[in-house]
Amino acid sequence: MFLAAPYPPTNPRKRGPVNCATNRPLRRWVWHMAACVILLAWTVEANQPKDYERKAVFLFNFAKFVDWPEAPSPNTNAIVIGIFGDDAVGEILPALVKGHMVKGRPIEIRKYRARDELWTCHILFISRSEAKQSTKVLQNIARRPVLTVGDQENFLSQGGMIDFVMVDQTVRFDINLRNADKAGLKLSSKLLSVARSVQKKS
Amino acid sequence: MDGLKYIRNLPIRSKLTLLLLVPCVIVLLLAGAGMLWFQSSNFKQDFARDLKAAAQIVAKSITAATAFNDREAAGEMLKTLEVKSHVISAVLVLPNRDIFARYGTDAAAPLPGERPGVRGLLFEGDKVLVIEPVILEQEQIGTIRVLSDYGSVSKSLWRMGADMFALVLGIAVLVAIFLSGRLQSFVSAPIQRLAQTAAQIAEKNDYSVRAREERDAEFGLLTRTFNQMLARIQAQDAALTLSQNKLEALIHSIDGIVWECNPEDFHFTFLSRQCERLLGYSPRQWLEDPNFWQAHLHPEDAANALKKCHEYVAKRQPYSYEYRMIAADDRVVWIRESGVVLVEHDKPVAVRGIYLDITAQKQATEQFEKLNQQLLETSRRAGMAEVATGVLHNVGNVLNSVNVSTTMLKELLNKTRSPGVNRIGSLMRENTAELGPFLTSHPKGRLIPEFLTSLATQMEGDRVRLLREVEQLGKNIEHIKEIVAMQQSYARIAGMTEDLPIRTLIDDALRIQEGGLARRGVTVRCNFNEVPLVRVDKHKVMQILLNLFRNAEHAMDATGRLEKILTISTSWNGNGKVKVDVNDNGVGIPEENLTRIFQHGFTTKKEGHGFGLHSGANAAREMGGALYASSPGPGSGAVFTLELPAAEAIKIS
Repeated sequence: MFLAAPYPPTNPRKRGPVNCATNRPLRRWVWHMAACVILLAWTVEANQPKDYERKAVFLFNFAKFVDWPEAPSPNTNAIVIGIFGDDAVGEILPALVKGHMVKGRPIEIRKYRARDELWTCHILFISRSEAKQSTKVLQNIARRPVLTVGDQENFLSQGGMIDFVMVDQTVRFDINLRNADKAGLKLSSKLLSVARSVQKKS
Repeated sequence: MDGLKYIRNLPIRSKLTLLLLVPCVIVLLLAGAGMLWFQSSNFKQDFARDLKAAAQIVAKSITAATAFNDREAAGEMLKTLEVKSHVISAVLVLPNRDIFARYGTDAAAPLPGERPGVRGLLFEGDKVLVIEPVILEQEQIGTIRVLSDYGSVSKSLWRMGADMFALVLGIAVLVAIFLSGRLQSFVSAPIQRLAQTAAQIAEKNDYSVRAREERDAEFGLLTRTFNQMLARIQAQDAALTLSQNKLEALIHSIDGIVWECNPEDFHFTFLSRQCERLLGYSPRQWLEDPNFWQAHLHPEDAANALKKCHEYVAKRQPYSYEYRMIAADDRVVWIRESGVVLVEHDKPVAVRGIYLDITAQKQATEQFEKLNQQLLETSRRAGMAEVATGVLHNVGNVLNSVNVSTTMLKELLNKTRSPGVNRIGSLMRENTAELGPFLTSHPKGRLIPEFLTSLATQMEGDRVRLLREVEQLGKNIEHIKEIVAMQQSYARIAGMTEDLPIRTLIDDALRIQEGGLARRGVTVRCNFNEVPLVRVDKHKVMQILLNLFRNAEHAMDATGRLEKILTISTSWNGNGKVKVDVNDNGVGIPEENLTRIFQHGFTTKKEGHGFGLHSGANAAREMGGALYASSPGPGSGAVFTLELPAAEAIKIS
């Protein structure tokens, strides 16, 4: 249960009535009710995933909707998700992907500090912290079959392929299909269908 | 049963149409029912499969939206299910049971029969729930629940199926009617044609009509056989008509009225055309009036004829009787009705027969009777004349003797001495005074006594001779009387039968005929045997015998022979008949004439009228005897045999 992992497995709607439905004096019942309300509020709060968590999940999910022409790194069979720059996404991702396979291949998380060997991954997430370098990075790995995912404005115009955006406080993304095409990547139409906007091939 | 009777009474066209239509409809109904059943059972599966497929499609396409948390996109994808109108609602439930997206309502709530974790289809009443996992990269990232209203679909399906079926059935029936209308003509048309031909033949009685030959094997055979039958019937009909025409022509040409009538009321049902010719009534006129026959009977005969008619019908035997009818021109027509009563089931059903016009016959018979009467009279007169001739001849003979006697008497009387007596008388008167002296003295006077004595002697002699002559005369007169009396006796008692000795009759006949026989120098020999009396009418026997004698005389006379011998013999053979043979040695009779001589009008004599032997034979027959002839040949004489009934034999019998 991949998606279940970030969420507590309890169902507050079910738990509430179970705890409250006891035949006790009124006071005890009021206390219980209060406790229930607090618990409910907490669970709802706890249930609400953070944006970075979503982005991490999205990064992982992108692997499922993209076809790479060849293995960028012959050393490994795994699909490599590269994280460039410091980001919460990079923190939680390894735990997230652990034990999961995509297209029969394990997932490997690599963290890059410099611009070196950025092309050895399948998906490269350039964090907001590295936004200034993103243009150069993108130029470096241009025409390499690496899905570049960014979290900043103008990322797509700089040559990026997917860019996270916030829409109504929800994480969404735009796609520049032309850039992906140049890199020889094939993006699933399903992926395109859930993107906020898609810059098509010229 | 009524339905079946109704179908049985239908014309063949309708039957054939039914024959094609009913199985067609039944097959369609069965097929339709089977199809519906199959469809309904299949449809549920198809429906479920379809729904499941839709859910799967959505589940596949919704993966990205789920993976990238795009509730809007997910909702839109769920909304695509709305193309399936039966889908009530759909939800995408995340593994943590959060509802990620929904379309419509209700789908999230678990159904009563749902067990957790079960995928696939769940039918609950009219509702169908499809639970389809959303799998991305072998991981279930959610569950789609699609709730669908199967009931309305199945209802509409049923309605549509029923509508379609009704439409198809209607079209099929129309097509079947059209086709059966065309196809059944292959079967019904020849039958109808044949039936029409048969009806035509029956209606017009025209056997020259032929049924159209059909090419079909059975109908071909049927029509061929039918035509052969027709040809045969036609030939038979023609033959029948021919023979009927022939018979009719024969019937109508019969010189009499052929008829048929009802034995109860004598209403006529058939009359041949001769009716018109014989009675002047047309057959139609007669047939139309039930009482025609009764009304046109002669009034004198009507009652009797009707009575007899009923009697004959009751007897049921062929009959014949005569009566008179009144013809159209008021003629009286004698009819001889001969009829046969036809009996069927012991009941007289018809009387058939013929009316012959016997008027002419009746008249002829009357004429004949009259003529016969006249002839008989003539013959009787002729016979009488002949008898009379014989009698007169005999009388003449006797009268000769009478004449001789008279002459002798006259002579004798002339020779009488009356003058001498007279002279003596006058002498005596002169001498009256002296008579004595005169007688004694006178010379003359003395002679008177002597004279008177001789006169007396002479007168005595004369007296004896006269007496003798007168006696002879008286005898002759007596003979004449006898002859006349005998003739009278034969003439008077005609028609009376007596028992008589045949010999007397023969003797009498010979006596009557003796003059003629003697004149021709015929020797009569009689050879009478002892015979019984005969029971006869002597007048008739006398006629026959006289006729035979005369014929014998003539036959012998014709030979010119000097010795003419007539032999008469009587004999009795003990069988009740006395035979009289009259045998002559005359010219004889040629064999071919032996029977013809007894025919009326046959004669060999110049003066003959051909009646003698004919009436003689008839008379003999009337008395119960017979007359026949035999002859050794021409010139050898003839024997006529008269057989007469013996009185003794009659007594015996």
